[in-house]
Amino acid sequence: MKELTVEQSYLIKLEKFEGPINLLLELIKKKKFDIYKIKLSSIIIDFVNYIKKNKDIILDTLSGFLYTASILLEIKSKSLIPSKSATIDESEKIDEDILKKREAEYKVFIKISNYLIKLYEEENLYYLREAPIEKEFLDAIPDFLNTINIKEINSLASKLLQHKEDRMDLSSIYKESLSVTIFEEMERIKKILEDKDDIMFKDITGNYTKLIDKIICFLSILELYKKEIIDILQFESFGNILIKKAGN
Amino acid sequence: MNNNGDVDFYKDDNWLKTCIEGILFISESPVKLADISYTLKVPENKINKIIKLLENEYIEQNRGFILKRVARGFRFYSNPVIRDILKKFVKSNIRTHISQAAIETLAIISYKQPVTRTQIAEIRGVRTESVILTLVSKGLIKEVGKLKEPGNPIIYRTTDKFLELLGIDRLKNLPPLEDFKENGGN
Repeated sequence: MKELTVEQSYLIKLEKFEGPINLLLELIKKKKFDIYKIKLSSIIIDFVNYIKKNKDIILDTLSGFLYTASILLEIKSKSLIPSKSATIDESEKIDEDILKKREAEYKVFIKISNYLIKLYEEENLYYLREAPIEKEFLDAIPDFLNTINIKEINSLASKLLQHKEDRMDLSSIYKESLSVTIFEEMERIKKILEDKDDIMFKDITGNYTKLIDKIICFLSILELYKKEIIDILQFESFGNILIKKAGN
Repeated sequence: MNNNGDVDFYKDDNWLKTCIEGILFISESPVKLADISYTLKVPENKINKIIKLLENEYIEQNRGFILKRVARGFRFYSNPVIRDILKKFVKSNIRTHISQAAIETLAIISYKQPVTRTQIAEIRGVRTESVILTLVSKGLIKEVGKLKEPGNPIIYRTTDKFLELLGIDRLKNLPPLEDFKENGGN
């Protein structure tokens, strides 16, 4: 028989409930248990203490527990946000449906994972010849280092090692005083986008010498993005950031 | 042998058997039919027939090794019946340990490929960056391009090494997704 997973065997102990976290979630979904009555923080703290005491347990289904706990967090936090419209019930239902669907899909892949592990373990019945390739064949392999000399390796190494010294000391940024506030930057960027369709982040901050000001500007574009006033595009890692009016 | 001293590959089946056995012997990774066919200048179905002969021979003669078809190629493996003896002989079992996170990610990629990191994370419900990096470095998954979407996310597929790890010949040998779905409630 397979051992019970942590998800199944770890019991949450509350005033009015004792059982595995999955059961708690089911009861809440069926509205048989009021999520307001649950202190999620103490559930999590208890679980963390449990893990600390039982370090030698193989917790490879820890992700399952965390996943269920985060669903509970999501449900509780949504229920704490004041509802603005009468259609809130509908959107709550949609969210629940999405959660259900996601959970079901995740379960399917847990099953697939177990199947793949079975295949992997069966594969352990076979060993491979670990001996290296024979000398005649080794000699036939071309020498890839043929054209490289020690001078080139030396200069490559120097370049790589030097790069580290370019790292900025970030602690000094906070000692600088701000030239602009986020609010001011947001207004400035909105004004720029009145005339232009888009602009690069580097062009907006071109005049800024202090790093802190560039950071403020970046925070303001994030805020504008949150408010759906702009779209942000970046086509490659560490590439140029393009800021556009939203909805283009 | 003909006048040039070259062997007439076409003629002798026994000679072909020896050649194929030799090729499989020196290969470190699964050998594809097409490659053997190209080297020996013999049609694939003939090579296939001879390999089947070899496969059966090894089993019938109870050899210490067998031929297995994996990752669309053929390879020598030890005979599973002597696994426990070999275990004592092999000093370290260097089978890589696969974490739960890795196997879940592999499960998703193998059935949903090509797929992006975000799509994987949506199903698992957790961040997947480091798992993906590990799987790429282990050669079990590879980047196959980028999606034409904002952010241009990278798309991933499983590799032949993944097939080798699980002893599968092809992806389509995996059971269909439907087999893993539940009918009705828990």
